[in-house]
Amino acid sequence: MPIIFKKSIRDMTIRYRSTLVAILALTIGLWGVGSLLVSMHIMTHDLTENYLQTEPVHISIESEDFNKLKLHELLAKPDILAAEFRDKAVLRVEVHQDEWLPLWLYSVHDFEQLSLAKFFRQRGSFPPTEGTILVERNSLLISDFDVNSTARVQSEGKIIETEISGIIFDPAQAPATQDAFVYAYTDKKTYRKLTGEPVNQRLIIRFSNVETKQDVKAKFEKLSDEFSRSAIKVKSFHIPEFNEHPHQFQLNTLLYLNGAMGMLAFIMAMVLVSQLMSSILTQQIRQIGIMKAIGATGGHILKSYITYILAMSLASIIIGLPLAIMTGKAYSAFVAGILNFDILTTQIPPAIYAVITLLGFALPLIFSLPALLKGMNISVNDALGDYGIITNDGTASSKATGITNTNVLSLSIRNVGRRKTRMMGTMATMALGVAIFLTGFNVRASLSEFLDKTGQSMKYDIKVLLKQSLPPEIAIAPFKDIDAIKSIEGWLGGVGRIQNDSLSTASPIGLIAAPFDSKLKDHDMMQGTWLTGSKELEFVVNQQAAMELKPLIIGRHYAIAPGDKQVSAKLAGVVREFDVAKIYVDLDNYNRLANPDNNINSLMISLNDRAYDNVIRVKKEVEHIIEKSGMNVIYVMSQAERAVIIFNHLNIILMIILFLSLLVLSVSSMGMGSAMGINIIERTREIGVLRAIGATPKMIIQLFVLEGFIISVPSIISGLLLALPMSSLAAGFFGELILGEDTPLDFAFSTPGFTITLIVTLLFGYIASRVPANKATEITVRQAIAYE
Amino acid sequence: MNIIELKEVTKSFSQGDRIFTALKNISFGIEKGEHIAIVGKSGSGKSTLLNLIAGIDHPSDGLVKVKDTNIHELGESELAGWRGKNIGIVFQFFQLIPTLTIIENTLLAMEFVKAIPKNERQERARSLLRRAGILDHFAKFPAALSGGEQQRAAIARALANDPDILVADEPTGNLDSGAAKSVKAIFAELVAGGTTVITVTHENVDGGQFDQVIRLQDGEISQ
Repeated sequence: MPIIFKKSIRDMTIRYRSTLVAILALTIGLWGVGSLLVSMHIMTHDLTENYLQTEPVHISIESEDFNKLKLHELLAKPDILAAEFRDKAVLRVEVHQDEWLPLWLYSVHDFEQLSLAKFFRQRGSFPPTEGTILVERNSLLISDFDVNSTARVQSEGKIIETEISGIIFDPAQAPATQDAFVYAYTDKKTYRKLTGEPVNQRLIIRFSNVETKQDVKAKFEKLSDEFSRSAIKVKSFHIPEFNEHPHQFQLNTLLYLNGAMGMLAFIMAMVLVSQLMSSILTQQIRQIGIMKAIGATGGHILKSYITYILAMSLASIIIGLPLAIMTGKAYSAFVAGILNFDILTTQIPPAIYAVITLLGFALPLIFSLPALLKGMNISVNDALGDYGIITNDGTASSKATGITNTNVLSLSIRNVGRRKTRMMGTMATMALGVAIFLTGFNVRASLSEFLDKTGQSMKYDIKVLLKQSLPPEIAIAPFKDIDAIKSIEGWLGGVGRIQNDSLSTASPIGLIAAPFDSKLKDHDMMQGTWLTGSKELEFVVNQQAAMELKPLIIGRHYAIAPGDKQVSAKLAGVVREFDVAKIYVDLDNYNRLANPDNNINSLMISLNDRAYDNVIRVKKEVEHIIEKSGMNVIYVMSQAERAVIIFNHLNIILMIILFLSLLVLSVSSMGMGSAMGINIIERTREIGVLRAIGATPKMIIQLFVLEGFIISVPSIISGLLLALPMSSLAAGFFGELILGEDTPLDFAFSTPGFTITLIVTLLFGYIASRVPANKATEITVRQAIAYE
Repeated sequence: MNIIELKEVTKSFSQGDRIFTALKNISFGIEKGEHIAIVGKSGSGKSTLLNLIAGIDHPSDGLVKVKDTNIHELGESELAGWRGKNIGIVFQFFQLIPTLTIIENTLLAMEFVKAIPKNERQERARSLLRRAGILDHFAKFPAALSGGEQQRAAIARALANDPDILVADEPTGNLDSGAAKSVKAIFAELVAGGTTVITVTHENVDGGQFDQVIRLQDGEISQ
């Protein structure tokens, strides 16, 4: 091996502590960015692949007139890629004793010949034996179901015990664990028996030559005209997001988070490496001079230190690459479990390995380039004249700081100004780490605050959704005797339509008719106002509806169709809530237009005691009453459980934010510690001189701890200040990612986060300077002065 | 014919607002195979003069010619290579690379310059160390050697590429009398073998030992 490379390797081993810190930081950075690349590749590919394997539905259409439709003629049309009847009913099923959840039951035309909306056998029978159902696998995690177990299904007020004959996997459904729905599939005969409803009333279609939701809408318009000509009246339709899993938003959030944090950790590790190289070069400046004096060119010097960097890179790649692959796969599997999809990727493409390896080698070199070029280009004279005791800088720094005293504090301040570039680099890295760490807490606080607001905006505790609307006195009567109930308000929920300029066909949308002045809902208005109760019909949309139907203009009149009528209504405002698209109208106005019997189908129950345990207890009591009375109910939901559902959507994101923030802070703190350590190593001879002229070890420690303090305190303050706009931007970004366009989260300041950040970073800063300072006093004066 | 020629060489340094002239209008010549001493008190400019001759520094004015080459006209990389081939440098504080063994320090110099074929380097390095009387210590690191031994190792390194000129800046300044004597003996041997040796010293020199003594005072040659 060339001697110059031997020198590099030995330099590494002699400075093993700094080298290990740099390798550790590099490994963490590479691990972060590498696992990001791996998980991004797997998750993006596999979730989409899982979803696409089902041949997802482009549109589902409901009509009572499909008996007039000749399905084989429809299938012969060039625009139609696949179509079949797949009825859907919303029933209820008991998942645990006295715990009921909505059941989405599908009737399947032919299990052996699924042409679209495919699902896949996991265990048990396929197709289901007669009279039984197949249950989607994710439901097993929130129920006592299994093959050959019996499910108690509530339909039309009756309880029907139904055997589960098999478990299937339907990647196109939102995970049952997150949305608290159970999905089941059965044949048409069993469907009719369970639901009491006719079949062939819901048609699902895949069009050919479509690439966007707009394309689907255009094809549907054409089909709708044909249906009209055949006297097939479309009752409702639904067009999902094109080729997008229902929980794609969660995945996108995770990927963005991973991406941002992983890159940041990696870049900070690069900064640390460049600081290390800068320090090595500074410390070895005289060696560089000697080598040049005996014939080394700049190229020789460069080669030597590049070897150092490449050796560290190699070590970090050897450790970090397998870790990244392992973590990326594990993380993907974890997310797959949450989002209920299968990992299909068995081999990570060589390109990913290549990119991680290239990053591991190239970026440390690039970041260290300024230091390397300085070492390469320094003249022999300048290099040989550097004895590690800087006199010119001392003079300059005293001019810059205006300090000429030599007490410890003054010395510390002057010393900090001696290596300005490194000091700025250390402070910037530390400030960024602090900012990101606190941003993590603040974004988490923003999300938590949003969840609280969402929970608190609903002042009712339990909602009962009836299958049919009933007169209020009949609907409410069964529950009047429950002592714990404070009040029951009746609302009406259904489907409405809005006509806007961009669509020739009205889009169906959830509609809630509630008293305009109901105290049961707070309104987090994004634009305009809530309903005012004026005689003129008004409506409010939530932000999801506003996004789907934009542009909607406050104050403008739109045609809305509550029920079968179409009326003109003024858009009063847009409310922010974490829910599907909905419109709200005043109940009195709605009754006047479309509900002369004043029937209701939603019971909004408020309790005297809103504690979680009490709510759950009363909910069970409500379920008992429903079971005994034979009421036909779609679901009974408590707000507490709804909050849990929403929280489950977001919890993973909250945890990841915190974890990655901590990772970034750790790397930036390592950078600070490394910089302080390097600083002290470089000044070993100077320390020896100070001790030789009378400085005690205690004074030396004080000097460096103070220097650390002088660097870390402004860094922390800068970081805390930087966290404010950063948190605001991040909250806005994640809000839009999770909740939709134009729906940023409000900035929230996390006081516990601030406190933790302050304590942790001050502590890190203290340790970062105290440890190397202690080490500096351990060597003898003679050794320190002779140090090279 | 002079192997080294200085003509009206001046060297100035800026120190903050003022200019300090270390050497003023120096002119002299050194013939091949001469043993030269450059003497003077601290601050007289002797190390500066040595640096100019070795190509470590450039004159502010004047001409420095070594082996027919105006070395001050060479670029840094070119100068490094030229220096490695033609000039061996011995420093007062030895300046061995601490993480390389004695033999590796010597081999390093050959590796930079590539004047000695690869397959001859090991043997040459051993031969130089033997000549310096420290072959037994070839696998040791500098910190394990005494001052005298380190200086002899530095001399071996300086001779690695068989230079025609050896410059030594206070080579015995850090040695005891015994070690100093052995170093002086090596120099005398080199001179006898035709190497031009230039030594900077602040000691009182005995003129008989040297072919030329250049006395510097306040940056000028004094007689």
